[in-house]
Amino acid sequence: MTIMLFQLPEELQRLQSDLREFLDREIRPIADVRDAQGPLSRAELKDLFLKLTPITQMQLEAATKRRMLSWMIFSEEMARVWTSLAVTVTTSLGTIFYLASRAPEHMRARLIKGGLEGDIIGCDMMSEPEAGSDTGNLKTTARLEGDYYVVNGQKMWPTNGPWADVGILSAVADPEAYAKNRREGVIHLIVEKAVSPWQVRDLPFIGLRAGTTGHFIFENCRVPKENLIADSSKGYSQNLAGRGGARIGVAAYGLGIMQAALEDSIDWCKKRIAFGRPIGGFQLVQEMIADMATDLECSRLLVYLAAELMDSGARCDLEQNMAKAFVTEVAKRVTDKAIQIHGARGLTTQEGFRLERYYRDAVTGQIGEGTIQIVKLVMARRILGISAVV
Amino acid sequence: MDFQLPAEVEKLQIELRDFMTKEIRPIADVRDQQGPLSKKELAEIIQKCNKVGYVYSWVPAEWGGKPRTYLEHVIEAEEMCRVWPALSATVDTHSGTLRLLAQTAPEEMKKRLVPPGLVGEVIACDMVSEPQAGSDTRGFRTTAILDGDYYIVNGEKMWQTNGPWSDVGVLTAIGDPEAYARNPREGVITLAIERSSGWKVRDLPFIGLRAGMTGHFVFNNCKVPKENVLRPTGMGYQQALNVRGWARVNVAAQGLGVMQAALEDSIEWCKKRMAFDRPIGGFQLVQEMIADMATDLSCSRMLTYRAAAMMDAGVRCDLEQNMCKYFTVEASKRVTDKAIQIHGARGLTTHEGFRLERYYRDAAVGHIAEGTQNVLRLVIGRRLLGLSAIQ
Repeated sequence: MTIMLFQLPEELQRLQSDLREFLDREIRPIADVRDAQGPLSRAELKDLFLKLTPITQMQLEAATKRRMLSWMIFSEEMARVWTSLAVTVTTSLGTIFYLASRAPEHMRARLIKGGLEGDIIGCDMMSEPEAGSDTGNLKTTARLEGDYYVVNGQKMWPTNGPWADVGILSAVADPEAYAKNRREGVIHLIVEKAVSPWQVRDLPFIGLRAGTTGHFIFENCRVPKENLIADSSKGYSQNLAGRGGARIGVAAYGLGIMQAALEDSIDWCKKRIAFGRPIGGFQLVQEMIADMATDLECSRLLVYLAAELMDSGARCDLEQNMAKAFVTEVAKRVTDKAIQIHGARGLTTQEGFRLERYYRDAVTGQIGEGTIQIVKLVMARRILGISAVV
Repeated sequence: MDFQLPAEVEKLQIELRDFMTKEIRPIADVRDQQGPLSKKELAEIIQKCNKVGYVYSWVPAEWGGKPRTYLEHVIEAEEMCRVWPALSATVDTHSGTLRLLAQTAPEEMKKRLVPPGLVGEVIACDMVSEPQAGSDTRGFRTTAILDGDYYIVNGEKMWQTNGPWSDVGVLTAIGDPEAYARNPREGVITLAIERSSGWKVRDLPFIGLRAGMTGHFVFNNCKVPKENVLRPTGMGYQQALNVRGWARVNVAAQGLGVMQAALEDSIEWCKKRMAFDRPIGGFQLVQEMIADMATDLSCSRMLTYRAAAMMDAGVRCDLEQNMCKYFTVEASKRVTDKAIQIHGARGLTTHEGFRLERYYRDAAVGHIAEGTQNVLRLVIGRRLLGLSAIQ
């Protein structure tokens, strides 16, 4: 039989259905009750990590062959059932796996074990109050003094911040060089709260309610110099390199949200009667369903293509950006239509309907890892060879 | 690689694009707006394209054909349409119909028509739509009633690509009016009908595809030998549906070509055109248009390639076929519009060597052909919901 192209390979289709079955059974009932109540406690978080063990193991195994593509499916399926938890878990694990290959030797095994078991939560500390899209405007400094880097400054918006035990910190080590050229003078440090205490508060969002987002303050925070994982010449490019995977990871959450919104909508279209027939029998409603499904299919193909290219080691910044740009826009359209299809039930937080949560989670999840404006400008710069970023 | 074209298909794409750019584009850019090609011109151009496998790719090997996969057919359509949509619509319709004849026509007819059909000296068309029956293919009136050794055909067919050039057509007609009246999926047959049967035909020029022709046929007691039945009574409707499945993907593939050309021209203009002391490609609003055009094209491509790949694998893919045409049509409206905007007044002119207005006009025909957007919304909706809102 011909191998069918433009489809997930069979083993990943199986992974997807195994994940979905598990998550529907084990996590969805918790999500639907718990999400609206606010940030998870550490104890709850640990419980959930342990509960997820069978599927994190499944993903790790699949990752040995198709690392990014299996990660996309994991992110998508988690987001379908509980976007907040998906963002928390994948951000933490993603950060920890990144660190595990770069951190000092003695830390690695501890990090991975702790990360998988939910004892160690990771986060990525890059954005600052004055520097989101404009990564050339970092103000947090890390000054080498003897055996320590002394860190001063703030980080704002890192996912998992208030829970974080460990993080990747981007800071300016050489302010003079940085002032001349934003690609120079930035370092990455692995920072641990137990070793280098910091202050942090939560910044709640419109969506992803069970999660947390940190506002960090570093005041003469001392980080062992062994914790350097990228030096001045590499800090900037490491930031860029890390963003591609995270960018399509965010797009993958959008796939999950859209899938859930579409499923609920199809269900409602058949169930809800108006004017003597199921509302799915009206042409304008059918148009909405057709458009939602089409938007989702395009999104999937773009995300999977980018992931596949990453797995093969090919350059794919264009494809990564394209996937993020598209998903960001359509996730909003799809979740909006899903609300419309449900009428007032699309707005309520009660009665067991999830549509308003999808809408809130979609918009929240899609700002991070590149606003749509930046992403489009980066795409166009690649296509035209002309920059309009500044 | 699961989500990319196989290496040999990429290679084919490069070969065809190269050929089309060198050999066909120069003709297209001058000739298109002058109006319909003559049969002689058409044959000459088809023979040029034969050199890179067109038409032969659709015909079984026993007739000298070199069949390609559906995915490769998408590439064929995409690359030809990138340089000349009118030619693409013509050749695609002709080739697909020729294959049907090569597979199902009476032996004597095959021998007589397939060899010249391969080189464009005989042109084929597919006769389904009627003046009162486009989306509603259950509203046919044209009849083909068996009388001794002949079917007698009465009625009209309207909107057939290639119509006025055609020497032969695949005619969908009512063979059994009583059965059809009871159930429109029954009583329909397909016949191979030749010009010698005595049809009258006129051209129906369109907003786009100017070098092409579109037929309005009138059949007045036209006689068709009974051997010319391509499917027995009662199966014609389903056959029309199968042909429509490919035809939908084909139109999507053509849309890819138009969008690719529009994007290429726009990228070039963005770098070249100066305004306010810089290339217009340096303005954020223009950059957004380029990013959106590229994204629309990528999505359209992937949906279309996927549908073709599923056809090659022999799996059910009506949803994917419908979806790829649906999305691609909307995308091509956006892309060809943005391409005009990027070029300003030069996007509107038929002169000065700019093609943008032609892309806009040519893309428009694909918006309607082989399933209007509204019909596609409803068949996609029906498949996803199990509820029909078609009537």
